[in-house]
Amino acid sequence: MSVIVCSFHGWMQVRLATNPDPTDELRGVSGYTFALPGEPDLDRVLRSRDPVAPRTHGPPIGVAVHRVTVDGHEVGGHPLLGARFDLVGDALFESVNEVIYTMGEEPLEPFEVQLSHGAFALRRRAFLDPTRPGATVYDVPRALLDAHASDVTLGDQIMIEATGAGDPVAFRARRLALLREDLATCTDPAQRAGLGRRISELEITAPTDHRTQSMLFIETRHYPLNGPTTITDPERWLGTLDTYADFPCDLILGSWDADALSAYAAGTLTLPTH
Amino acid sequence: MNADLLATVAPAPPIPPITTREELIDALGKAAEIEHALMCQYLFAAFSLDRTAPGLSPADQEHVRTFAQMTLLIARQEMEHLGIVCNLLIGVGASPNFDRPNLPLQANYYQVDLPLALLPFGERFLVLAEQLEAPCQDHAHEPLPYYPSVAAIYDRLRDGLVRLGAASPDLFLGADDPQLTNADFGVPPAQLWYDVALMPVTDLPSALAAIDLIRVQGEGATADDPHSHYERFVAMHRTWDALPAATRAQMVRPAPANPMTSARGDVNPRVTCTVLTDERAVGLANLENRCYELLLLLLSRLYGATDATAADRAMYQEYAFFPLMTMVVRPVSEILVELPAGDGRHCAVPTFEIDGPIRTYLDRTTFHVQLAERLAHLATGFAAIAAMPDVPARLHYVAKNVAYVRDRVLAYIAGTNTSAIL
Repeated sequence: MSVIVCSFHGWMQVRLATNPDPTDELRGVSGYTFALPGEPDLDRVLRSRDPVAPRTHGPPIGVAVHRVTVDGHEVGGHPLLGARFDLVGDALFESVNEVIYTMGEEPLEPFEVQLSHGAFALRRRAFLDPTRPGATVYDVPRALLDAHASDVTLGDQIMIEATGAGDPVAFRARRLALLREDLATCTDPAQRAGLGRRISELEITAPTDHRTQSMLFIETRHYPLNGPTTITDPERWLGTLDTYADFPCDLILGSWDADALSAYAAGTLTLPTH
Repeated sequence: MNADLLATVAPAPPIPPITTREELIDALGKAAEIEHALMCQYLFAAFSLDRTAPGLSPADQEHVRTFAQMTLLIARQEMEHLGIVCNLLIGVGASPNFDRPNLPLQANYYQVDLPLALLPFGERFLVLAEQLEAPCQDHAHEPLPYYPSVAAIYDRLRDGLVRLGAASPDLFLGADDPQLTNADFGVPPAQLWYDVALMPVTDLPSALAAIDLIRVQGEGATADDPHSHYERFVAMHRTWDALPAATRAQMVRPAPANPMTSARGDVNPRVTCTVLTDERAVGLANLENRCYELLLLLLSRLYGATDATAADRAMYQEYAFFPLMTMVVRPVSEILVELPAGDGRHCAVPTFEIDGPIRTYLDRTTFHVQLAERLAHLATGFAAIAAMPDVPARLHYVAKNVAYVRDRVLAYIAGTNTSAIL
């Protein structure tokens, strides 16, 4: 038996309303995130690919495997290096403004992972309750929500990994300067309106403000992928995958860029094989 | 009736300074009701805006979003002011006051020379809001028979606190009683949290700091403080005036002023009110009012309830602020304006009516029983209206969430010693 661990990192997009807006607010009013003129409604989906209306100067959306170990030993040149890591099935942050769970600690649901590279593809979901695959966050006991909740800490390590620096105020000031330059030459009315909104948000610079402080939030979730496994592995990169065992997936989200509606994602997917 | 008319009936004496604890408590009680009424006025105006009106230019979409954003922000700060005044009441040995009369009220109801009314966003609303939030003028220190704006109320309160604080070492009898502060939310003392900061009142300096925060947010730290309510309303008014009439008309829904779910005798009889008649609108507005009342009951327990355990307080706080305010009252208000009022002219609107006084439940067991009952009624009621024809699908989400909150509260009660009575 061998254990393959794929480490991944990259950026995800999440176009969600923020408190005190209701969870299902579509355009953003009282929080600090907005659907700008010309952009589709907010939808709360955590996307690892195909970003919707990506913002200028935001990070490139996409998450990929950058390190593979087999039984603890790094394998340079492993075929899974560079594989895409995706959340599929429209994962949502399911706090529902504290109806379901404490904000920031809420489960991501549905949590379904896909690893793909060329003809290779592996897909598996972490069900809240594997005995009731149809159960939602509204249906399961508290203990199962707790098991899918996030540990939240405050620190600059993820922001440094994501952006090369750990100062949210400086990060936002740089973005503000870029947007002001853009506004000076922009003539399109919709873009000007959107830039104006982004600029007015970035002009709020207090280090204790949600917009700034949340860049240092680090949310860590541990999900056992426990649903049926779908795999296409023509080159047998994984050998014989043990699909009876759970696949542990650790996901860290941080460096929340509220202006670009993007967060840095890092973590590991563990694949047990026979 | 305005101050001039009052003066023709009988010359009103100037409002006297506060010289006793009773007068201080009375004045704080009225301040709480005014802040509460202002909050409702501003929420109402914000909900009357049509943020998704088709045909608005991108710039106008941002204008209408800013109107809603700023008006809701000011409403939140009025809610904060209400909370701070309740801390002041508790601090000086009184109970909090989450009661208020229904709107509209005639001018001078609170000796404020302005009416209080539910007006849709627009010229009348902005003029009234500016007047209410206006900074104290130099002549404000002269005794007048009325308050020219809300700021003058706090001038008198501050003056009274200084006078009584110097004369009475035991003014702050309730310094150790439960108040709601930033610390309850894990927020540092002076930090704004969703644009609000709740300050404890335990002595004269903290009481004066509380009054000063209210004044700075309302009238501004300086004459042109852009973050004051007054300057924010002035800025909105300036933007509003610069918009073409057709654009302004698109931005506001056909919301009636001073709506109610049934004819009432407790409001200003000289003002035209609109009674909702559409069955769905009446039912939904009534349920929203019940939810709003429940929220006030939870707040009344959070402030000053000495028999509430730490877990009880955490539970009240957990449900009052986010689910009830943000996932019920606001969405239901936004759903209401998509329904007809029933008169063929107007859309429905939230009415913010209160049926009777907000009672403070002194016993946790009886409160918890009634909390569960009220949540059960709300869950059933929202589900029933969601099932009616042509009701926005969003109401199903509200109903589902209220049912979930009901179940969580029942689970909490089942895990405490209040369960035996259920």
